[in-house]
Amino acid sequence: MQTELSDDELVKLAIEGGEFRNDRAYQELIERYQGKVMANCRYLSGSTSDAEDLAQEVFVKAYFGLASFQGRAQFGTWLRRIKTNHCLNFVKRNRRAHVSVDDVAQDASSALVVSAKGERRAILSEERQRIDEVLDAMTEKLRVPLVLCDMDEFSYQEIADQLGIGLSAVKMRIKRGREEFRRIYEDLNAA
Amino acid sequence: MTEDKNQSSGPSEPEDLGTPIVQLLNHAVPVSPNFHSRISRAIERRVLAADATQFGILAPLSALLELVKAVFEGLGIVDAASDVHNPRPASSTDADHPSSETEG
Repeated sequence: MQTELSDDELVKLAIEGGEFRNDRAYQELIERYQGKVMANCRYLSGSTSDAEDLAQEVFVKAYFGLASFQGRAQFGTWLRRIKTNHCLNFVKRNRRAHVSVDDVAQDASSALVVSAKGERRAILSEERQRIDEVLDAMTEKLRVPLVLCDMDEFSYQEIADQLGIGLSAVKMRIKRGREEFRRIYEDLNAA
Repeated sequence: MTEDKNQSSGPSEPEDLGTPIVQLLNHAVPVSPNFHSRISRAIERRVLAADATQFGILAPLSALLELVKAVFEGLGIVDAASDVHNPRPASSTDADHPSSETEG
């Protein structure tokens, strides 16, 4: 019944509804967006193990923020903002706590990708897996702007604001990111 | 996507950013089967924590309020004040204290 309802209608039902266990409306919203939220968390954080925790926290945050959601933007847009802020905060925290992802040698990250490959192969489709591998092989510096631009469809200015860098730097990174993505993707296809 | 996607201003900015990666637009990553129950548990934990915090604040506060009220009632201040604001009707006073005049 709820698959026919729009996001706005589901949000209204979720706000009116009671506790989460009985809240089919919010569960339906989760089902609609979980794949994209998970993909974002996965590629913005660059961590498979943290991605699901991050996605979970995004939906929990959104649940408690529903009352303040006034419907001025679409639910998807509102959720996109929450997940991006949450993931970028995670990346910043991690960068402070650990070595910068940019500094990690490419060989080391490739080795990690190879070790996780076998496990994921069974679950993911070939195409999805290839995208996964390409994004994993990219540095955070190029991957994050590319994901924000081509996956989340943020404008260049919004990306610049979120990352705290200049507009021209964003454009340069996106250009290089797209080139690198295509190069690695074609290499994988050829292999 | 907004208009500035196709704009480029300034000499240092690349003119052609290339076409967007279409594979990324609808790319989704599957979640584990227990994803919903994990969210459910996380929400319930937070609700429980909020309730406990609220109780922790409200319970001592209401106990204090009751104590103050009891002190004021003991001193007769609350009764006097309520009598001023809500004077008893004459008939009910007579009915409640029928022998007050004879006793005086």
